[in-house]
Amino acid sequence: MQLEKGRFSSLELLFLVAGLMQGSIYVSTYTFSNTPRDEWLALLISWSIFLPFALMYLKLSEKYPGDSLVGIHDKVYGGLAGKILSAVYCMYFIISSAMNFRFPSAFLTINFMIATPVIAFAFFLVALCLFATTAGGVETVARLGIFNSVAVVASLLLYLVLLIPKIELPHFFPILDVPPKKLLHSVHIITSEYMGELFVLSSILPYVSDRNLLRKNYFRGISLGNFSFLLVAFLVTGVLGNEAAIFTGPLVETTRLVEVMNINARIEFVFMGFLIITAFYKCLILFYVTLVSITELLALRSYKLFALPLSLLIFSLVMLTNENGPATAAAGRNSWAFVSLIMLMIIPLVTSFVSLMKTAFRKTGR
Amino acid sequence: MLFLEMLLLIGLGWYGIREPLKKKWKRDLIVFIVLYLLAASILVTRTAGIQLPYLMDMVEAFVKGALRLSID
Repeated sequence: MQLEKGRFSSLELLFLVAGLMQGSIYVSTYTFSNTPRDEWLALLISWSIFLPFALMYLKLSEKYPGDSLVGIHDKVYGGLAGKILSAVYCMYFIISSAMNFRFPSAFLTINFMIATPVIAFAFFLVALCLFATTAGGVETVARLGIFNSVAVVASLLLYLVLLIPKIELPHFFPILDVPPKKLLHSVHIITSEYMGELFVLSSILPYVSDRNLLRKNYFRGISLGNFSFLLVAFLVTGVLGNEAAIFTGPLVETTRLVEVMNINARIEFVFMGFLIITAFYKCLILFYVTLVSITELLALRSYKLFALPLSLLIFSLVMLTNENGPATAAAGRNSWAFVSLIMLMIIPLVTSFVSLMKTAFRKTGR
Repeated sequence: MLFLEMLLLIGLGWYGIREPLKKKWKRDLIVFIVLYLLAASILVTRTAGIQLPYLMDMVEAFVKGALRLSID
């Protein structure tokens, strides 16, 4: 069931995928506390583990081309079981959206405007997402990705150039001198939380217009997203080394060390601005996916009607996500990684397997 | 503050309810009302200072219980 007539190209999909992944850059601090020196290694391992899952998400979407996540569940699991699973996913998307809306709001409060309450920023973020989805739709959501991704990569490269004097290659050594448990923990978080979130795009893939380039641009988007993460890992490890483990925001601290003409330039605001935009973009995608999933699940006529109550619900839940910033970070590092693993990797794997079995049984005529 | 918030919520709710009411979309109307009342009640109780459970505490309790993990 397709809820709107809007379409976007596979090139816009490339930047949408990259933008969704880049939206997790500012929470990459979760893993620096475990692997301050070997973050790049954890990223490469995660990338190799995740690639088959990315292919699986794509194949599932290609097998049911006009269907979003709810439609796929209905076709694979049947009426009741599919609806129950889709309802669980809608709950997951709502909680994930609330967490993701809280991150940039808390980030701005903690780092820049201490006296401003978190809900003030959350209100504007939610209101902007409400406007973008009701006034625009999926085409608007996809179109924003180009500016977002290019700006983030360009600013990362700029900071790389400006921080070259401060990068020390001994910070990367010794390699593999990290407890396996911590490396595994980092790989778990990166794979399930940063990369696994691409599964939410199953609700958006039906709206891609040129499907012949879909696969290539999807993987190019993943590569661009991972390249951004690797740049961040290289920057933070090169500049801070083991000290990255003690900072709450190692990326912010790294960008604060930029000096132009031996003057502390304080241009971290530029990069933080782009990070906030990319975080907003991730929130927008999650908001849209939650909206269309609920609308499809309940077989409603228009998703734009429910943007208002959903935005109000998410805004309320932003205040109820966690008590404070460190509690949010602890939740993201620990319990949420398991929830993401189950919802974004294990259940889609089971869905693919059941779909394959159904096709095989249909072919053999049993 | 609470009074202004409730006025704003009533106004927004009325604005949102007009379309399904005019077009007589029964299911949409019911879902809109239910979702809106849920969201508005959480917002109002929080503004009124009533303590509500934190989401991630519930998720953590669920994960710890389901997976029988000791995660800190």
